[in-house]
Amino acid sequence: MTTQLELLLELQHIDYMIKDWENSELRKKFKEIGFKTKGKDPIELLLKKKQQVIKKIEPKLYNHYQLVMQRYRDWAVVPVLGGFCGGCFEKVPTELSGQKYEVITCPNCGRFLYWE
Amino acid sequence: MKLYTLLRKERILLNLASKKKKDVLAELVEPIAKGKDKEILVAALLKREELGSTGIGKGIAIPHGRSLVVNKLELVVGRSKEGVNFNAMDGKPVHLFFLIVAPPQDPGNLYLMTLGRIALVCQEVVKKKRYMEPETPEDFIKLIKDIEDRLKQ
Repeated sequence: MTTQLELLLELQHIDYMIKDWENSELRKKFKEIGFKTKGKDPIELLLKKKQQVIKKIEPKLYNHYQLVMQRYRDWAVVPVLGGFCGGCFEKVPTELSGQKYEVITCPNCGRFLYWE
Repeated sequence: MKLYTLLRKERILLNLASKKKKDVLAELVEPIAKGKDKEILVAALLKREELGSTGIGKGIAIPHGRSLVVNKLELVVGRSKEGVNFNAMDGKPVHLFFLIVAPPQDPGNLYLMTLGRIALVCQEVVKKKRYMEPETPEDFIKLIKDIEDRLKQ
């Protein structure tokens, strides 16, 4: 996996965490259980981490990530499962699998793909 | 919802060998993800730990995260007899781990419910360190079932 792809995955994980902490019910539960976070607001910390990751990602890839996230509101970096895109489940052309080490997007939905 | 219904005996590791945070997470993830997936999942869990430890004290930790690596909520239990330094809130070693991994979209809100249920069961299971008693995964499930049967709700 290329570093850019790893960074995109990391960005996606941070986005999931932000979403969880923004969910009032989950946030309440986290506090009830007793999860303590560094600093006052975990979201502030996560946004800071997100900025650090964004800095390392090529701007055109980040723009594409944002576009896909806004469009589908779920995930932007997905695995290829048995030759199918893990996001839209369309068949991924076999010629793309030969380029495993580059950042590749699904020709159907535009999500970033990684091979397992 | 009952916690014991989510437990599977092959996902209860009663003798964790690892001593370090990263190694423990890798060991816990083993039953649900292999190869590349495992690496991705461990990285995601470590990312969560950077925010603050999920060791909530009294020897319990609840590492959790969301990932596309799983397609439904997965729960793995791990126990370390010697304890692991997990930077827990009370500074004590962690003996019992509940690993929760849920897909990013979780329609039934099972993630929230499972977290709540674990917290509830933990209050009982820490008494007299009852989690140290079970010798087999079946015994562990039985212990959790007994605790849940006694709990109201």
